[in-house]
Amino acid sequence: MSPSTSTSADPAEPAPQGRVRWRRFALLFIPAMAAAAVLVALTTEGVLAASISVSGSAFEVSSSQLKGTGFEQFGGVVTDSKGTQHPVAISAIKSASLADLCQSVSVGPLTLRITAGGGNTPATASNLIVDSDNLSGDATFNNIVIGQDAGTLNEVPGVAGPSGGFGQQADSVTINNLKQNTWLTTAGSFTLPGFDLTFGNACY
Amino acid sequence: MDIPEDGTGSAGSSPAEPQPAEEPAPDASAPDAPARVISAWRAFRDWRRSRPFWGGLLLLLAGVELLAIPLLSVLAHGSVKVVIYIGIGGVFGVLIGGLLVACGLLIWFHPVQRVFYAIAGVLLAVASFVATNLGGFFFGMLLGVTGASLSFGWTPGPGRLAGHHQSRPRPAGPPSDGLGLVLDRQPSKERAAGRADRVLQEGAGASGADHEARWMP
Repeated sequence: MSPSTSTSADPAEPAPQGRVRWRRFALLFIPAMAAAAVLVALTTEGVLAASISVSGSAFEVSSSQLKGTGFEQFGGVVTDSKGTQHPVAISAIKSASLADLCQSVSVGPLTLRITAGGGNTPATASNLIVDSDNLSGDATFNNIVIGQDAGTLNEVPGVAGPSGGFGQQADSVTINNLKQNTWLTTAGSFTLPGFDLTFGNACY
Repeated sequence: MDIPEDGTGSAGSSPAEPQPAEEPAPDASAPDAPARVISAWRAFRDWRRSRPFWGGLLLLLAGVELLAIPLLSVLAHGSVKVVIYIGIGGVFGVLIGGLLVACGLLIWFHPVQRVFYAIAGVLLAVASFVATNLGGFFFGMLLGVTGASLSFGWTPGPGRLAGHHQSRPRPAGPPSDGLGLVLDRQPSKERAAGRADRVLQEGAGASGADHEARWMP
Protein backbone atom coordinates (compact mmCIF):
# COMPACT_ATOMS: atom_id res chain seq x y z
CA MET A 1 0.00 0.00 0.00
CA SER A 2 2.34 2.69 -1.16
CA PRO A 3 0.84 6.15 -1.02
CA SER A 4 3.00 7.29 -3.91
CA THR A 5 1.24 4.97 -6.33
CA SER A 6 -2.20 5.35 -4.84
CA THR A 7 -2.68 8.74 -6.36
CA SER A 8 -5.49 8.23 -8.77
CA ALA A 9 -4.75 8.49 -12.45
CA ASP A 10 -7.84 10.61 -12.93
CA PRO A 11 -8.37 12.90 -9.97
CA ALA A 12 -11.35 14.47 -11.72
CA GLU A 13 -13.47 11.37 -11.05
CA PRO A 14 -14.15 10.80 -7.38
CA ALA A 15 -16.44 7.85 -8.10
CA PRO A 16 -16.81 5.62 -5.07
CA GLN A 17 -14.95 2.40 -5.60
CA GLY A 18 -16.23 -0.55 -3.71
CA ARG A 19 -14.45 -3.76 -3.07
CA VAL A 20 -15.14 -7.26 -1.87
CA ARG A 21 -14.32 -8.03 1.72
CA TRP A 22 -13.36 -11.66 1.68
CA ARG A 23 -14.42 -12.32 5.24
CA ARG A 24 -17.92 -11.22 4.39
CA PHE A 25 -17.70 -13.31 1.23
CA ALA A 26 -16.78 -16.38 3.27
CA LEU A 27 -19.57 -15.63 5.74
CA LEU A 28 -22.11 -16.48 3.04
CA PHE A 29 -20.05 -18.71 0.75
CA ILE A 30 -18.97 -21.33 3.28
CA PRO A 31 -22.42 -22.04 4.77
CA ALA A 32 -23.92 -22.13 1.28
CA MET A 33 -21.38 -24.63 0.05
CA ALA A 34 -21.89 -26.68 3.21
CA ALA A 35 -25.63 -26.76 2.55
CA ALA A 36 -24.98 -27.71 -1.06
CA ALA A 37 -22.66 -30.49 0.06
CA VAL A 38 -25.38 -31.83 2.36
CA LEU A 39 -27.85 -31.84 -0.54
CA VAL A 40 -25.34 -33.63 -2.77
CA ALA A 41 -24.71 -36.20 -0.05
CA LEU A 42 -28.43 -36.79 0.48
CA THR A 43 -28.88 -37.22 -3.26
CA THR A 44 -26.01 -39.68 -3.38
CA GLU A 45 -27.68 -41.66 -0.60
CA GLY A 46 -30.86 -41.77 -2.62
CA VAL A 47 -32.81 -39.94 0.07
CA LEU A 48 -33.53 -36.81 -1.90
CA ALA A 49 -35.10 -36.76 -5.31
CA ALA A 50 -33.64 -34.48 -7.93
CA SER A 51 -35.89 -32.95 -10.52
CA ILE A 52 -34.53 -33.35 -14.01
CA SER A 53 -35.93 -31.52 -16.99
CA VAL A 54 -33.73 -31.36 -20.04
CA SER A 55 -34.49 -30.46 -23.59
CA GLY A 56 -32.28 -31.04 -26.54
CA SER A 57 -31.23 -33.87 -28.73
CA ALA A 58 -27.92 -34.22 -26.94
CA PHE A 59 -29.50 -35.89 -23.93
CA GLU A 60 -29.17 -39.67 -23.74
CA VAL A 61 -30.43 -42.11 -21.16
CA SER A 62 -29.55 -45.73 -20.85
CA SER A 63 -30.35 -48.39 -18.29
CA SER A 64 -29.79 -52.09 -18.11
CA GLN A 65 -33.30 -52.67 -16.84
CA LEU A 66 -36.29 -50.41 -16.35
CA LYS A 67 -39.24 -51.65 -14.32
CA GLY A 68 -42.19 -49.33 -14.34
CA THR A 69 -45.77 -49.27 -13.15
CA GLY A 70 -48.26 -47.18 -15.02
CA PHE A 71 -47.17 -46.74 -18.59
CA GLU A 72 -48.61 -44.56 -21.31
CA GLN A 73 -47.42 -43.86 -24.77
CA PHE A 74 -48.88 -41.75 -27.48
CA GLY A 75 -47.70 -40.21 -30.65
CA GLY A 76 -47.33 -36.57 -31.26
CA VAL A 77 -46.23 -34.24 -33.97
CA VAL A 78 -43.93 -31.38 -33.22
CA THR A 79 -43.60 -28.56 -35.69
CA ASP A 80 -40.29 -26.79 -35.55
CA SER A 81 -39.65 -23.17 -36.40
CA LYS A 82 -38.96 -24.01 -40.04
CA GLY A 83 -42.34 -25.64 -40.40
CA THR A 84 -41.00 -29.16 -40.59
CA GLN A 85 -43.08 -31.69 -38.73
CA HIS A 86 -41.36 -34.27 -36.57
CA PRO A 87 -43.16 -37.33 -35.26
CA VAL A 88 -42.29 -37.99 -31.65
CA ALA A 89 -43.35 -40.62 -29.19
CA ILE A 90 -44.27 -39.33 -25.79
CA SER A 91 -43.85 -41.93 -23.09
CA ALA A 92 -44.94 -41.44 -19.51
CA ILE A 93 -44.24 -43.75 -16.59
CA LYS A 94 -45.77 -43.13 -13.19
CA SER A 95 -42.98 -44.73 -11.22
CA ALA A 96 -39.97 -46.60 -12.44
CA SER A 97 -36.83 -48.18 -11.09
CA LEU A 98 -33.78 -48.07 -13.29
CA ALA A 99 -30.76 -50.28 -12.77
CA ASP A 100 -27.39 -48.94 -13.91
CA LEU A 101 -28.86 -45.64 -14.94
CA CYS A 102 -26.67 -43.50 -17.13
CA GLN A 103 -27.54 -40.03 -18.35
CA SER A 104 -25.27 -37.96 -20.54
CA VAL A 105 -25.75 -34.46 -21.73
CA SER A 106 -23.55 -32.55 -24.15
CA VAL A 107 -23.00 -28.89 -23.47
CA GLY A 108 -20.86 -27.53 -26.24
CA PRO A 109 -17.60 -29.47 -26.31
CA LEU A 110 -18.19 -30.94 -22.86
CA THR A 111 -20.05 -34.14 -22.23
CA LEU A 112 -21.37 -34.58 -18.75
CA ARG A 113 -22.15 -38.09 -17.65
CA ILE A 114 -24.22 -39.01 -14.62
CA THR A 115 -24.35 -42.57 -13.44
CA ALA A 116 -26.43 -43.88 -10.58
CA GLY A 117 -28.24 -46.94 -9.39
CA GLY A 118 -25.46 -49.44 -9.78
CA GLY A 119 -25.34 -52.55 -7.65
CA ASN A 120 -28.42 -53.57 -5.73
CA THR A 121 -30.03 -50.17 -5.30
CA PRO A 122 -31.57 -49.00 -8.56
CA ALA A 123 -32.35 -45.38 -9.23
CA THR A 124 -36.01 -44.51 -9.14
CA ALA A 125 -37.99 -42.00 -11.12
CA SER A 126 -41.50 -40.75 -10.67
CA ASN A 127 -43.67 -39.06 -13.26
CA LEU A 128 -41.05 -39.71 -15.87
CA ILE A 129 -42.00 -38.11 -19.15
CA VAL A 130 -39.94 -38.58 -22.26
CA ASP A 131 -40.45 -37.09 -25.67
CA SER A 132 -38.16 -39.15 -27.77
CA ASP A 133 -37.61 -40.02 -31.36
CA ASN A 134 -35.54 -43.06 -30.57
CA LEU A 135 -36.45 -45.40 -27.76
CA SER A 136 -35.08 -48.89 -28.03
CA GLY A 137 -34.94 -51.91 -25.79
CA ASP A 138 -36.59 -55.26 -25.13
CA ALA A 139 -39.94 -54.42 -23.65
CA THR A 140 -42.51 -56.54 -21.84
CA PHE A 141 -45.91 -55.08 -21.06
CA ASN A 142 -48.62 -56.34 -18.70
CA ASN A 143 -52.28 -55.68 -19.42
CA ILE A 144 -51.51 -53.52 -22.37
CA VAL A 145 -54.26 -51.73 -24.23
CA ILE A 146 -53.20 -50.82 -27.73
CA GLY A 147 -55.11 -48.41 -29.84
CA GLN A 148 -56.85 -46.51 -27.12
CA ASP A 149 -57.85 -42.92 -27.76
CA ALA A 150 -54.87 -40.89 -26.55
CA GLY A 151 -57.17 -38.43 -24.82
CA THR A 152 -58.53 -41.10 -22.50
CA LEU A 153 -55.24 -42.46 -21.21
CA ASN A 154 -55.32 -42.62 -17.42
CA GLU A 155 -52.42 -44.71 -16.17
CA VAL A 156 -50.34 -41.64 -15.32
CA PRO A 157 -52.45 -39.01 -13.57
CA GLY A 158 -52.48 -35.70 -15.34
CA VAL A 159 -50.91 -36.85 -18.56
CA ALA A 160 -53.01 -37.54 -21.61
CA GLY A 161 -52.49 -37.07 -25.28
CA PRO A 162 -54.56 -35.22 -27.84
CA SER A 163 -58.00 -36.76 -28.14
CA GLY A 164 -58.47 -38.69 -31.29
CA GLY A 165 -54.84 -39.63 -31.42
CA PHE A 166 -53.38 -43.08 -31.20
CA GLY A 167 -52.36 -44.19 -27.73
CA GLN A 168 -51.54 -47.22 -25.69
CA GLN A 169 -51.16 -47.91 -22.03
CA ALA A 170 -50.19 -50.73 -19.72
CA ASP A 171 -50.30 -51.52 -16.03
CA SER A 172 -46.61 -52.27 -15.87
CA VAL A 173 -43.66 -52.43 -18.16
CA THR A 174 -40.20 -53.94 -18.10
CA ILE A 175 -37.62 -52.77 -20.57
CA ASN A 176 -34.24 -54.44 -20.75
CA ASN A 177 -31.24 -52.64 -22.26
CA LEU A 178 -33.07 -49.38 -22.54
CA LYS A 179 -31.48 -46.82 -24.81
CA GLN A 180 -33.22 -43.58 -25.42
CA ASN A 181 -32.27 -40.52 -27.37
CA THR A 182 -34.53 -37.62 -26.61
CA TRP A 183 -35.48 -35.25 -29.30
CA LEU A 184 -37.11 -32.75 -27.02
CA THR A 185 -37.67 -33.22 -23.39
CA THR A 186 -37.02 -35.55 -20.54
CA ALA A 187 -38.56 -34.66 -17.25
CA GLY A 188 -39.02 -36.45 -14.01
CA SER A 189 -38.10 -36.64 -10.39
CA PHE A 190 -35.15 -38.95 -9.86
CA THR A 191 -33.58 -40.44 -6.79
CA LEU A 192 -29.99 -41.17 -7.66
CA PRO A 193 -28.28 -43.54 -5.21
CA GLY A 194 -24.58 -43.86 -5.84
CA PHE A 195 -24.78 -40.68 -7.86
CA ASP A 196 -21.60 -39.95 -9.78
CA LEU A 197 -20.93 -37.10 -12.15
CA THR A 198 -17.99 -37.18 -14.50
CA PHE A 199 -16.83 -35.54 -17.68
CA GLY A 200 -16.22 -38.00 -20.38
CA ASN A 201 -17.93 -40.09 -22.97
CA ALA A 202 -21.57 -40.39 -23.74
CA CYS A 203 -23.53 -43.32 -22.37
CA TYR A 204 -23.66 -45.28 -25.61
CA MET B 1 -4.56 -11.76 -8.07
CA ASP B 2 -4.96 -8.74 -10.25
CA ILE B 3 -3.44 -5.46 -9.35
CA PRO B 4 -5.59 -2.54 -10.40
CA GLU B 5 -3.94 -0.09 -12.65
CA ASP B 6 -4.21 2.75 -10.22
CA GLY B 7 -2.18 0.87 -7.66
CA THR B 8 -4.90 0.83 -5.05
CA GLY B 9 -4.96 -2.92 -4.91
CA SER B 10 -3.09 -4.95 -2.36
CA ALA B 11 -3.40 -8.32 -0.66
CA GLY B 12 -7.14 -8.11 -0.29
CA SER B 13 -7.89 -6.92 -3.77
CA SER B 14 -10.60 -8.84 -5.50
CA PRO B 15 -9.49 -11.42 -8.05
CA ALA B 16 -13.03 -11.47 -9.33
CA GLU B 17 -12.69 -7.88 -10.39
CA PRO B 18 -10.10 -7.88 -13.10
CA GLN B 19 -9.38 -4.25 -13.61
CA PRO B 20 -9.17 -2.99 -17.17
CA ALA B 21 -5.82 -2.77 -18.79
CA GLU B 22 -3.90 0.45 -18.66
CA GLU B 23 -5.84 3.03 -20.54
CA PRO B 24 -4.13 5.75 -22.47
CA ALA B 25 -4.46 9.13 -20.89
CA PRO B 26 -6.91 11.33 -22.73
CA ASP B 27 -4.88 13.20 -25.23
CA ALA B 28 -5.97 16.65 -26.23
CA SER B 29 -4.88 16.09 -29.81
CA ALA B 30 -6.68 12.74 -30.13
CA PRO B 31 -9.59 12.56 -32.54
CA ASP B 32 -13.12 12.67 -31.21
CA ALA B 33 -14.12 9.06 -31.64
CA PRO B 34 -11.44 7.47 -29.43
CA ALA B 35 -12.00 10.15 -26.84
CA ARG B 36 -15.68 9.33 -26.81
CA VAL B 37 -14.92 5.65 -26.49
CA ILE B 38 -12.57 6.33 -23.63
CA SER B 39 -15.05 8.50 -21.81
CA ALA B 40 -17.79 5.95 -22.33
CA TRP B 41 -15.51 3.24 -21.01
CA ARG B 42 -14.66 5.38 -18.01
CA ALA B 43 -18.31 6.00 -17.33
CA PHE B 44 -18.95 2.27 -17.50
CA ARG B 45 -15.97 1.63 -15.25
CA ASP B 46 -17.24 4.06 -12.64
CA TRP B 47 -20.69 2.53 -12.87
CA ARG B 48 -19.18 -0.91 -12.48
CA ARG B 49 -17.02 0.02 -9.51
CA SER B 50 -19.85 1.62 -7.64
CA ARG B 51 -21.80 -1.64 -7.31
CA PRO B 52 -21.10 -5.37 -6.93
CA PHE B 53 -20.86 -5.78 -10.68
CA TRP B 54 -19.18 -9.18 -10.89
CA GLY B 55 -21.42 -10.75 -8.29
CA GLY B 56 -24.48 -9.56 -10.16
CA LEU B 57 -23.03 -10.80 -13.44
CA LEU B 58 -22.40 -14.28 -12.04
CA LEU B 59 -25.94 -14.44 -10.65
CA LEU B 60 -27.29 -13.37 -14.04
CA LEU B 61 -25.29 -16.07 -15.81
CA ALA B 62 -26.43 -18.68 -13.30
CA GLY B 63 -30.07 -17.81 -13.96
CA VAL B 64 -29.62 -17.88 -17.71
CA GLU B 65 -27.94 -21.26 -17.53
CA LEU B 66 -30.71 -22.73 -15.37
CA LEU B 67 -33.29 -21.34 -17.80
CA ALA B 68 -31.46 -22.58 -20.87
CA ILE B 69 -31.28 -26.27 -20.02
CA PRO B 70 -35.02 -26.95 -19.96
CA LEU B 71 -36.00 -24.30 -22.48
CA LEU B 72 -33.28 -23.99 -25.10
CA SER B 73 -34.46 -26.49 -27.63
CA VAL B 74 -38.07 -25.65 -26.96
CA LEU B 75 -37.36 -22.07 -27.95
CA ALA B 76 -35.20 -23.15 -30.85
CA HIS B 77 -37.81 -25.49 -32.22
CA GLY B 78 -40.78 -23.40 -31.31
CA SER B 79 -42.78 -26.25 -29.86
CA VAL B 80 -44.21 -24.84 -26.69
CA LYS B 81 -46.93 -27.47 -26.70
CA VAL B 82 -44.62 -30.16 -25.41
CA VAL B 83 -43.64 -28.07 -22.39
CA ILE B 84 -47.12 -28.60 -21.01
CA TYR B 85 -46.27 -32.22 -20.30
CA ILE B 86 -43.19 -31.34 -18.27
CA GLY B 87 -45.24 -30.35 -15.27
CA ILE B 88 -43.92 -28.96 -12.03
CA GLY B 89 -40.30 -29.89 -12.69
CA GLY B 90 -40.11 -27.57 -15.65
CA VAL B 91 -41.92 -24.85 -13.75
CA PHE B 92 -39.32 -24.87 -10.97
CA GLY B 93 -36.51 -24.60 -13.46
CA VAL B 94 -38.05 -21.53 -15.04
CA LEU B 95 -39.00 -20.04 -11.68
CA ILE B 96 -35.56 -20.37 -10.07
CA GLY B 97 -33.73 -19.30 -13.21
CA GLY B 98 -35.94 -16.26 -13.64
CA LEU B 99 -35.58 -15.23 -10.01
CA LEU B 100 -31.80 -15.54 -10.20
CA VAL B 101 -31.78 -13.32 -13.27
CA ALA B 102 -33.90 -10.83 -11.36
CA CYS B 103 -31.51 -10.96 -8.38
CA GLY B 104 -28.54 -10.26 -10.64
CA LEU B 105 -30.22 -7.33 -12.34
CA LEU B 106 -31.46 -5.88 -9.06
CA ILE B 107 -27.96 -6.09 -7.57
CA TRP B 108 -26.78 -4.01 -10.52
CA PHE B 109 -29.52 -1.45 -10.55
CA HIS B 110 -30.47 -1.33 -6.89
CA PRO B 111 -27.24 -2.17 -5.08
CA VAL B 112 -28.42 -0.62 -1.82
CA GLN B 113 -30.43 -3.76 -1.14
CA ARG B 114 -27.63 -6.09 -2.22
CA VAL B 115 -27.60 -8.05 1.04
CA PHE B 116 -31.21 -9.12 0.64
CA TYR B 117 -30.76 -9.99 -3.03
CA ALA B 118 -27.58 -11.90 -2.24
CA ILE B 119 -29.28 -13.99 0.44
CA ALA B 120 -32.24 -14.67 -1.81
CA GLY B 121 -29.85 -15.60 -4.60
CA VAL B 122 -27.84 -18.00 -2.50
CA LEU B 123 -30.97 -19.74 -1.25
CA LEU B 124 -32.29 -20.07 -4.79
CA ALA B 125 -28.96 -21.37 -6.05
CA VAL B 126 -28.73 -24.03 -3.36
CA ALA B 127 -32.37 -25.01 -3.86
CA SER B 128 -31.76 -25.36 -7.58
CA PHE B 129 -29.77 -28.52 -6.93
CA VAL B 130 -32.88 -30.50 -6.10
CA ALA B 131 -35.35 -28.41 -8.06
CA THR B 132 -33.84 -28.17 -11.49
CA ASN B 133 -31.34 -30.48 -13.15
CA LEU B 134 -28.94 -30.85 -10.20
CA GLY B 135 -28.41 -27.11 -10.21
CA GLY B 136 -27.88 -26.93 -13.94
CA PHE B 137 -25.45 -29.85 -13.65
CA PHE B 138 -23.57 -27.99 -10.88
CA PHE B 139 -22.54 -25.03 -13.05
CA GLY B 140 -25.52 -22.86 -12.30
CA MET B 141 -25.46 -23.66 -8.61
CA LEU B 142 -21.75 -22.82 -8.26
CA LEU B 143 -22.11 -19.65 -10.30
CA GLY B 144 -25.08 -18.56 -8.22
CA VAL B 145 -23.47 -19.25 -4.84
CA THR B 146 -20.26 -17.50 -5.87
CA GLY B 147 -22.05 -14.52 -7.34
CA ALA B 148 -24.31 -14.10 -4.34
CA SER B 149 -21.36 -14.34 -1.94
CA LEU B 150 -19.40 -11.76 -3.94
CA SER B 151 -22.37 -9.42 -3.79
CA PHE B 152 -22.77 -10.08 -0.08
CA GLY B 153 -19.12 -9.37 0.64
CA TRP B 154 -18.97 -6.22 -1.47
CA THR B 155 -18.72 -2.96 0.42
CA PRO B 156 -19.06 0.48 -1.11
CA GLY B 157 -17.04 3.59 -0.73
CA PRO B 158 -13.31 4.16 -0.51
CA GLY B 159 -11.98 0.98 0.95
CA ARG B 160 -9.20 0.85 3.46
CA LEU B 161 -6.94 -0.39 0.70
CA ALA B 162 -7.27 2.87 -1.14
CA GLY B 163 -4.88 4.37 1.36
CA HIS B 164 -7.02 7.31 2.39
CA HIS B 165 -9.36 5.72 4.86
CA GLN B 166 -11.18 8.48 6.62
CA SER B 167 -13.34 8.23 9.67
CA ARG B 168 -16.69 9.93 9.69
CA PRO B 169 -16.20 13.65 10.40
CA ARG B 170 -17.35 14.68 13.84
CA PRO B 171 -20.30 17.01 13.83
CA ALA B 172 -19.22 20.59 14.27
CA GLY B 173 -20.55 22.73 17.05
CA PRO B 174 -21.29 22.09 20.69
CA PRO B 175 -22.84 18.83 21.88
CA SER B 176 -26.55 18.68 21.87
CA ASP B 177 -28.63 19.71 24.84
CA GLY B 178 -29.47 16.08 25.46
CA LEU B 179 -26.18 15.47 27.27
CA GLY B 180 -26.70 18.45 29.50
CA LEU B 181 -30.19 17.29 30.31
CA VAL B 182 -28.88 13.91 31.35
CA LEU B 183 -26.03 15.30 33.42
CA ASP B 184 -27.38 18.25 35.36
CA ARG B 185 -30.35 19.66 33.50
CA GLN B 186 -28.37 22.79 32.91
CA PRO B 187 -28.87 24.40 29.54
CA SER B 188 -25.67 23.97 27.62
CA LYS B 189 -25.22 27.61 26.72
CA GLU B 190 -25.20 28.73 30.33
CA ARG B 191 -22.98 25.85 31.36
CA ALA B 192 -20.47 26.55 28.65
CA ALA B 193 -20.38 30.19 29.64
CA GLY B 194 -19.90 29.30 33.30
CA ARG B 195 -17.15 26.85 32.45
CA ALA B 196 -15.36 29.40 30.33
CA ASP B 197 -15.52 31.81 33.26
CA ARG B 198 -14.07 29.25 35.62
CA VAL B 199 -11.27 28.45 33.20
CA LEU B 200 -10.47 32.10 32.92
CA GLN B 201 -10.45 32.50 36.70
CA GLU B 202 -8.56 29.39 37.67
CA GLY B 203 -6.15 29.12 34.78
CA ALA B 204 -5.45 26.43 32.26
CA GLY B 205 -4.89 23.72 34.85
CA ALA B 206 -8.47 23.84 36.06
CA SER B 207 -9.93 21.64 33.42
CA GLY B 208 -9.85 18.65 35.75
CA ALA B 209 -11.63 20.56 38.46
CA ASP B 210 -14.07 21.73 35.89
CA HIS B 211 -14.74 18.16 34.92
CA GLU B 212 -15.31 17.18 38.54
CA ALA B 213 -17.48 20.18 39.09
CA ARG B 214 -19.80 18.99 36.40
CA TRP B 215 -20.30 15.71 38.19
CA MET B 216 -20.35 17.09 41.77
CA PRO B 217 -21.86 20.50 41.63
